[in-house]
Amino acid sequence: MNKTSDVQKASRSPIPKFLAENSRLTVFLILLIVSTVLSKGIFLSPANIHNMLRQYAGIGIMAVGQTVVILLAGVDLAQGSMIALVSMVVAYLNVNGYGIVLPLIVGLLVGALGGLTSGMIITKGKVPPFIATLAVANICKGLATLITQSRPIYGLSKELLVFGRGTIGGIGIQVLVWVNVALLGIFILTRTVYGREVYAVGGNERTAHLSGINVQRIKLIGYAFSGICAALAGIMITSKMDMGGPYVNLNDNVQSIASVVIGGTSFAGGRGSVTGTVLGTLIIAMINNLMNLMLINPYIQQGIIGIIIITTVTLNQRRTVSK
Amino acid sequence: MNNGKTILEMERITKEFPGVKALKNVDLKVRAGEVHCLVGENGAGKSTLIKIMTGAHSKSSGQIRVNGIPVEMNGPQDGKKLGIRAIYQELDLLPTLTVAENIFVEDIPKTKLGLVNWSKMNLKAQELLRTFGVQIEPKALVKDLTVAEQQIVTIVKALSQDSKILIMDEPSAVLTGSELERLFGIIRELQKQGVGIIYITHRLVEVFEIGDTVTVLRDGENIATAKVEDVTMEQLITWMVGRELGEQFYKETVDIGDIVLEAKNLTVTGQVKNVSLQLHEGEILGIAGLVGAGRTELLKSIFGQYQVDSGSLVVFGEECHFTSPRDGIAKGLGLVPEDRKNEGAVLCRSIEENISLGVLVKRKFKFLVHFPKLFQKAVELANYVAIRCHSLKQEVGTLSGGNQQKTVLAKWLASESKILLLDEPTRGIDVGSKLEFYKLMAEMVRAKKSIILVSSELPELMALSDRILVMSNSQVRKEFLAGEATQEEILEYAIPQELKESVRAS
Ligand SMILES: Nc1ncnc2c1ncn2[C@@H]1O[C@H](COP(=O)(O)OP(=O)(O)OP(=O)(O)O)[C@@H](O)[C@H]1O
Ligand SMILES: [Mg+2]
Repeated sequence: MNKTSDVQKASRSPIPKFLAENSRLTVFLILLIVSTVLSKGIFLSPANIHNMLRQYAGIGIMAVGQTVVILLAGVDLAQGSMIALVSMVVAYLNVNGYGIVLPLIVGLLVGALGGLTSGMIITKGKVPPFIATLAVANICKGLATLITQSRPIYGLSKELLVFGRGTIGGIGIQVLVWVNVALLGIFILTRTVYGREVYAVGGNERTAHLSGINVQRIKLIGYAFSGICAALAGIMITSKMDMGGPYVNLNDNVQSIASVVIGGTSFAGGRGSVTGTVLGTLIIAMINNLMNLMLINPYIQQGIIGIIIITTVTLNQRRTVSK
Repeated sequence: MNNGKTILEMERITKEFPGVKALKNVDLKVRAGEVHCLVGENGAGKSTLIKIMTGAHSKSSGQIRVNGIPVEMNGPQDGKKLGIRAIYQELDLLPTLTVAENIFVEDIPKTKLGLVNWSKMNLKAQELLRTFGVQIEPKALVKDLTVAEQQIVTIVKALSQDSKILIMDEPSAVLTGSELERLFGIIRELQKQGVGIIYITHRLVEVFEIGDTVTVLRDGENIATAKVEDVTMEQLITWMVGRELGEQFYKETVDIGDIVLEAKNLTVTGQVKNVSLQLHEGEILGIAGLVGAGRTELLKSIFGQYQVDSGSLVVFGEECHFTSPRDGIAKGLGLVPEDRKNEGAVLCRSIEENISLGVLVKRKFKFLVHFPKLFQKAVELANYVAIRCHSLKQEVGTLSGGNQQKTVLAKWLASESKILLLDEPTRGIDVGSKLEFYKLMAEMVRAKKSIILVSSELPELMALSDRILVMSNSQVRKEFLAGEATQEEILEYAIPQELKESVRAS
């Protein structure tokens, strides 16, 4: 049977086939060309691209964590509120004289703890991820406003601002953090035992359990990772805005999920990759950037993103069904 | 029976999947009132052919004529409109809906106000289920049923609508004994009404029991179509595998060693009652019984999937209290479950990934995966069990039913389990591969592994086992040594007492 497949592969020219099989890359390339043409080249200017990447670093980081959770056939709706909570915690500790190391560690711990809480409710309580993470989102939101009775915290120390504003070798630190988190995500999913187990659990939880995988542990780690990613994004945003804000960034949560879905990860779990998600985030970033350059009303922009999500999910669905 | 007029003609049907040609110029004719059996090895293209017949798959080329008129089908609805219905190998029920809802999902009975007429729906469902002679509650959720019961629901669903052609893809992979008898009764009834029936099976005896015509597929090609009365079993097998097979079973005598596993009064409330058994090194212990006798449950409670309520389990001389399959696996147990789609395989992942799950479980790798090493093992085992695929990167869900089963087997071979619990392992596997599998089992016991084998195929069980336990009503009724009992004697103990009495009374 190997023979027939070789013959078929050889009979088709490789480039169109590659593009057809990697639809996300194709979309990405088309957008790149369209954006460049429509913006008369402004799009391709290093300043514009750098700006775009900085703006979307937070969402990109969240999306990496979200990928793991969605691969596990779940979803994390608490990421947006986690940003708010972490922002408040970090800012509060910072302005109250705890320096920056402690606030950062506590911030990341809060993220991990929030994720673990979602994971516990889902695995122990058998609550659907949608409801469990929504509940945790509400708790985070409540705690975030409780700290200062919903007033923002100003006056952060200068060192803290480095994360959102500083650069290394001309590249924004947020962007570098995003790149590293994405590389870490890719590494975990493709090179570690844990990654193999994520795909098995997401693909068929019962089979995974019967194959001796500790399903609960895999899920707990997944949600904790998602929480940590949200916390990292929260730190970046706090630093960029130079304040602790109890705002609940629901739209960021939607965009993180959208990145994953546009990146081709299946909501049914077990199929997808971080590479796809990174492309997904870049596609969203480019569309928004393009619409900004074309001065399209931001409210309409959100609608357009919505339409794109529906279209990609429908296309993905059709592809898996026709198989 | 073969004088009905031709209702369906398929001509030069070809189907290509990416990387594989599943059907090559296949011809098939079905007459009214005929039972047309379709046989062939795993992956020969049987399921693909019938999916094209129903419109579930599109054909790459060829022509389909219904009552002489060429038709183009673009989806399963088109097939249904033409009266072509199928009971697929993979159960296509909605698990969270009730039995009655599933049966009438395409045509829900309504009240005058256009609301769902629940009472009518449940009543009609009950009637239909009764014609099948089974006790299934119409209001029960499908996900709570056993695989056999689910299969019955799909059959009842297909029967609830009129059809001109009814296709059954391996119903006997799930149904056994009395249920199968009833199905045959229904098939004969439909035959009288002039329905054309296509019946796919790997149990070739059934071809001779129910079939009028038989078509053999091999590697996507139509090898032969013949009247059943004109062929012999040997002829069929030769057509299927392309050579003479010789023996049907394979068993080697090996020295039986010490006890490796011992259960004493094992009890799981409602599932397993007071079961005691001993398994020795190098032994194949067969477990006979009817569907619902508690055989699967026994394996699952030994494996650690079910919590044992009382009794004791000693594995390799150590008292064990498994709280999850993980514990069982750590002690060297492996379970090939009955329900391969939901419990055996991860359908959306590749063959090599599925097999390598068995290696991961062993924890040779602590944190990082060394892929070449991991997949090396998978490649070896895939070749060993002879999985038919175009690449090991292929998703298990796209494999034919029998090849999915082989993948699951390979996973446990990869984990090097010392005690294998096999639950209907040869179900849905073709004759040639069955023999290969029996040889594999012989090789395993030669390597000092032990096997508990649950099988509804008595000839297989009798040929392979060193001892046979007969179960009914969650209990072990009788123990036989190899060659000690006839099929009738085993059945005598397998049929529950109440059933015998009710049969006598009626
Ligand atoms: N969706 C698909 N994508 C790719 N290949 C497929 C797909 N479906 C089936 N195949 C391939 O087509 C071939 C025929 O498969 P099919 O399911 O028809 O076999 P079968 O005769 O029904 O076997 P079995 O007795 O094991 O059920 C196999 O090689 C299988 O791997
Ligand atoms: Mg099949």
